[in-house]
Amino acid sequence: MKIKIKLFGNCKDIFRTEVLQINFDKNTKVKNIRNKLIEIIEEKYSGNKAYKDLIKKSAFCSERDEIVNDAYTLNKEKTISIIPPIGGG
Amino acid sequence: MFHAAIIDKKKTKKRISLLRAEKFIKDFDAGACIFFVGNIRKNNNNKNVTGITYDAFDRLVIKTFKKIYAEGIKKFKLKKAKVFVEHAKGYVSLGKPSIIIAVSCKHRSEAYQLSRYLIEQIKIRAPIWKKEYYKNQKSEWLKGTSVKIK
Repeated sequence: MKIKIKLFGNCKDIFRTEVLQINFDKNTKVKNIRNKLIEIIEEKYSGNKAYKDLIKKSAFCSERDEIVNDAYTLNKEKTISIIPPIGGG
Repeated sequence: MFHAAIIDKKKTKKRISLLRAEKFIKDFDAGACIFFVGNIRKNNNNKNVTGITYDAFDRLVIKTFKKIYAEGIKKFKLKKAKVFVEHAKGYVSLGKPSIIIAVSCKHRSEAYQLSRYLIEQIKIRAPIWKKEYYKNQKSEWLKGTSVKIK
């Protein structure tokens, strides 16, 4: 199934877009999405450590605007947001 | 009473405004009003800052602001408080405000407490990101704090 990954902050610059669309198996978990993003960085940026660390330190947010952990399964949801480390104000 | 907004330059001509804040929190039962304004600072980590671009997950930011406000009211046992929070999105140049937090309460001690609580929690919980621009034409996203995952 095609999943939209909304990007924020530095992630927009790294992936040069605001939304990524990637195919995943049904019932995919947040962990798979995180690993896929790391995989893309491996390919595009020769495994840039700072970028990979950013993805590792990021949280994910469901369509219901709740922060979810790596075990969270996307059943019917087709959109998830990645929340890199924050710092407003 | 609570007001929260993300003021996005791309979507509106409005800017975050102290006048609007003052109007919102005005209350004849409140003896104390606190205005916190966060401005773009010239120097950060020994770098000459010329401006900051803010990115925000608007919906989640507003949800987080509301949650922090409700927590503050409960924490300081406030029966009546008016709070106004606006945060800028997009480019903000040196010296300009990026956030306004205005609070009115019956007494000053609770107004100070609530105002401080709001800004400290917003800094570590609201999904907002900063990209600093420097005099040498370079720019970088600030590292920030990871969101706690339950």
